Amino acid sequence: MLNDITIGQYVPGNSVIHRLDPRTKLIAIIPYVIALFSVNDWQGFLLMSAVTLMVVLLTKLPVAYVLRGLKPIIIVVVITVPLHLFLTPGETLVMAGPLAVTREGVSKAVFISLRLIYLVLITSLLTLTTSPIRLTDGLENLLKPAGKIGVPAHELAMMMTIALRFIPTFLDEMEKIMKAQKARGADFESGSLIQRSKNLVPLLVPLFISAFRRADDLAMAMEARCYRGGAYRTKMVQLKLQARDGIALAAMFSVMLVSLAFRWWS
Amino acid sequence: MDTAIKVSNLSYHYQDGTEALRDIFFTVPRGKRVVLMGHNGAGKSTLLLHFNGIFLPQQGTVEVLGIPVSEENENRVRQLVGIVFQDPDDQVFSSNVWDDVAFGPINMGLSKEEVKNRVAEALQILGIDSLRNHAPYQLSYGQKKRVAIAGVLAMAPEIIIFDEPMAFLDPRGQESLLNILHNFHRQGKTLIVATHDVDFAANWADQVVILKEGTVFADGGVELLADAELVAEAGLRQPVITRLFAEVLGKETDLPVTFDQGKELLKALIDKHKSF
Repeated sequence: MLNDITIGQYVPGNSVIHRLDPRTKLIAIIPYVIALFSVNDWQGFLLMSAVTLMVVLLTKLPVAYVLRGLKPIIIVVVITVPLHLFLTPGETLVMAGPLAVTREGVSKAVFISLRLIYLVLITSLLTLTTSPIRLTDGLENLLKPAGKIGVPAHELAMMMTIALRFIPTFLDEMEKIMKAQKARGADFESGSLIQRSKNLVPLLVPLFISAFRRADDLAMAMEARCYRGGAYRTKMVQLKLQARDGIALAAMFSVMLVSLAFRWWS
Repeated sequence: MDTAIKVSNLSYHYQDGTEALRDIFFTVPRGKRVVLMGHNGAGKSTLLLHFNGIFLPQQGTVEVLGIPVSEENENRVRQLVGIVFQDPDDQVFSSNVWDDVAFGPINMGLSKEEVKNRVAEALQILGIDSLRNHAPYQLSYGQKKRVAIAGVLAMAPEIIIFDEPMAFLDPRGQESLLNILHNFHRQGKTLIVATHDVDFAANWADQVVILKEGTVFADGGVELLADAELVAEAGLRQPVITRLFAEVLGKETDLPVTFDQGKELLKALIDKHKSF
């Protein structure tokens, strides 16, 4: 069960992408996504494919491992591709029984699938190459200006760190409770939808109780170690932008401009 | 400054009116090993949290190394008193070991160098230096426990409180924890352990404080635990050694409490038998 969870999974490394400032990575996703959604022809997607491939190779992560993160999205792609192929009106290429595959359908199916895949790919690279601590540091830093209008930047970042840390613990706990309830004859797998959601009660109640108890105890343990929110805390590692961050951002924004230009002129 | 903790006249009510502590008096000398015992719900945890300023006295006073525990002193008190909680999963929350141990020192506002030194030292003392980059879910229960202790040790507290430290540890884990406690004692730290384990208490403690229904029921040396009537009333039991000799010798006073006392008595009995 634990093996399927890839959220926030981090693979330590020393590539250029690993060493980029977390803020750079977070921001660079914006021009990338704009570019990805503005291109709508073969040349444009060729450019985006090249850019994506380059980023993947730069991370020096095993490509097969990176692609494994795409598994969940494949289902969506498999469902949407035939819909686009057959249901887009336009110039007919092949007849498949009563359904016509159109030229527009083919390009739409390919483009939308690529968009989805690249989007998931690039965002998964963010967590694959950035440790949760650095990621939250980056988020906290980016949110700091919003702190002036009352957004609790430090608290949000701390919540994220803690949430990521406790995902495996809660999965563990859930399995334990499930086993305990199954041992007493609870059934989580059969019955109608309503019956099944009713059966979840003996799982959810202990799970929530343990979550609240844990939150309470954790807060106490943190306070016992002098924690008082962001006000008094200093940073162990100060984030500092390097030349490579400038280069990375400049590159991403140029990709965005080029793709916008593509769209403009075609 | 020879008193580590002085509690006088302490009472505490929960918001729903439940009386958790009533008129607690006791003193812990510096450098001593104290065991806090009592049935479930006797008020052990509530009392422990007072030593660290998480709960502030509603009535009476708690003094830590001469400093009264109050709202304005709570940060100083928390640096002097560290608490190791029972379940390390309640305490270890960072995504890797190093960050978690550094959490307390960073909160104390120490310089970067100082934080690094303290974390390195704590990791080394607990023998978990090689785990510094591990995530908590990669650790065994015993390893997590060590991380929790390292996190408290890195704050260099004078007084360390342990809540049921032996619970769920395997025998080897208990053995190594005993060694860790022994080292802390040799460094002159005051140690307070809340536990139900009478055998551990008998063999380890200098002072035993027994709570019952929110009051101090008994306070003294480990010989308290040999008193059959007293331990029964407090919801505890005698140490195995005491029970063994009580049954064999058929008497209820002058019984050994610790392993060593039992050993000596047994040797003496054997010698006496031989000389006949």
